[in-house]
Amino acid sequence: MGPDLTNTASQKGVAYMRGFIQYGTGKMPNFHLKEEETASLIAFLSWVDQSGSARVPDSAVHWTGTYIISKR
Amino acid sequence: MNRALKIFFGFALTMLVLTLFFGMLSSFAFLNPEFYNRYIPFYQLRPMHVSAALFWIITGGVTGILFFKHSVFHYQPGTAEKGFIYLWMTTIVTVFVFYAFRKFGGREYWEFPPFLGIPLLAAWLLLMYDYFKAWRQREAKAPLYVWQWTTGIVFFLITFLEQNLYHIPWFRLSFLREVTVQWKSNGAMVGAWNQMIYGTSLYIMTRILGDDSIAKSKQAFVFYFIGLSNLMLNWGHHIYNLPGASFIRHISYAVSMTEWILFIAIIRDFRNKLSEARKYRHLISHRFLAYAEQWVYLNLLLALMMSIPAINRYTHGTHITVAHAMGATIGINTMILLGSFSYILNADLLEQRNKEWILKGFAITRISLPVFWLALIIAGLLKGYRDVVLQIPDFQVMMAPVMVMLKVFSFAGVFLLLGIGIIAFQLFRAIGKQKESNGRLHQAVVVTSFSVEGKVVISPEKEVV
Repeated sequence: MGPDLTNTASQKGVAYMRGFIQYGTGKMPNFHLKEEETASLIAFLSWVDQSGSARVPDSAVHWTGTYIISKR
Repeated sequence: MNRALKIFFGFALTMLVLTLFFGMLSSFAFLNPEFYNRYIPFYQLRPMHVSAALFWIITGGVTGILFFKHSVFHYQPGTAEKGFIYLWMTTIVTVFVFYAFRKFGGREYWEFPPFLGIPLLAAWLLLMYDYFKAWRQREAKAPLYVWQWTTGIVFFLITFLEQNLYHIPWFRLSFLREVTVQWKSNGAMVGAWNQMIYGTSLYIMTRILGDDSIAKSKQAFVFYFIGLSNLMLNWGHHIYNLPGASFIRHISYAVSMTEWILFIAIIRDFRNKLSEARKYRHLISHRFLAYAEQWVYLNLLLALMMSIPAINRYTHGTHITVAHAMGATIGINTMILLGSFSYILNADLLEQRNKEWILKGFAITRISLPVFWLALIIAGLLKGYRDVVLQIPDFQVMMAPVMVMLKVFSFAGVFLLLGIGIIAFQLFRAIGKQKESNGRLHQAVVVTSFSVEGKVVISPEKEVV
């Protein structure tokens, strides 16, 4: 199971994502994507980033055990 | 057994063996990416493993319905049944041909080129047509297993359609909307095939015990309705941490907690179940079914814990979720299906040597599966703690101690492949021994009852042609 990528765009930045995607790492293979494919992937991850935070904050946990997360 | 059904049983078992094989390779690829990335990386093995698993569970679930509907509804198989069998199998083979050419697609959890969803849907509609033609001949107060089969077949269609809603652009306009529908439908689909498989399990139990009342009691139907309401509403734990409407989360949480009733009932019946398991332990099929009950207990406890949002916060996206899925698909579904296959294929009538091999495979499975499952839970606890509580930012650093448990998990997975592989191999042999009829309903030997001493009583007069 890999890392959560929901907020990578805001936490790591576009240049970091581009480096990862273009060259891969020891763990992640190099997918040999074209420039426009890389750009599309970065645009998608940036769009996902705007959907919210991957972490449920402590303040959102109600005493009954449920969450209180407002809809965006 | 007719030829199409024989092939279908063999096909389902092939999917089981492929599931285990791809699963083992996936775990190795996750641990040694540098090596596997050169040949077949984890991201390709994962859909192959998951698809094979889903096709095994769903195909296996349908085998019981196709086989038993003849005796339950007194219904002769028609061309629609054969149409379903061959279209379903051909489409699945095509999915794997695409995988061989590294063509994936679709959505996470069940990835294949989207257009192949059309023949899968067409095959399912053929199955429904055939089933409901038979269903019209049900008795007035149909036993619970009939309702479970019916529920499973209908809900599979609904959840399959839901899974494919992303083809409508409106669903893709919002990332949250699409993810919500995907996670919801995948969670609910599990409930659909569970109904099919539980129905078969209940039917076999009525045959083994020689008592249909357990499928007609009020208590059985109350539990069915609890299960049904959970099928429809308890998928919330799949989407708890999405910023959706809070009332959905609250309803789902409340409905999930009704499963404590099932949990308490299982504990209450534990002593009876234990003595029943001892009484029928000479039957291979009953051994599998009794073992599956132990996994229902374990997995229900895990699911109940995960259904509490405050706990789900730590378990979501960890290996505990995987343990939940593995406990359900291997411990419950696969064990019930192996019990069902053993019963249908008359594994108890195999030569002593073959039966001993099945029991050896079963013993290996019984040792390796708990290790496999516990390793995942410990890995999940470690990940949840290090990620959510300690909030270690570097993924590799955060995962370092988790990897140790994943090595244990992979090691146990090899033995799981060995154990279940041995069982599957013997069941393949049992299929080969099945007497074939000319496309008509024919079970050569029906094992209808069992003496307390452990001898199988065969009733040739029960032969149905």
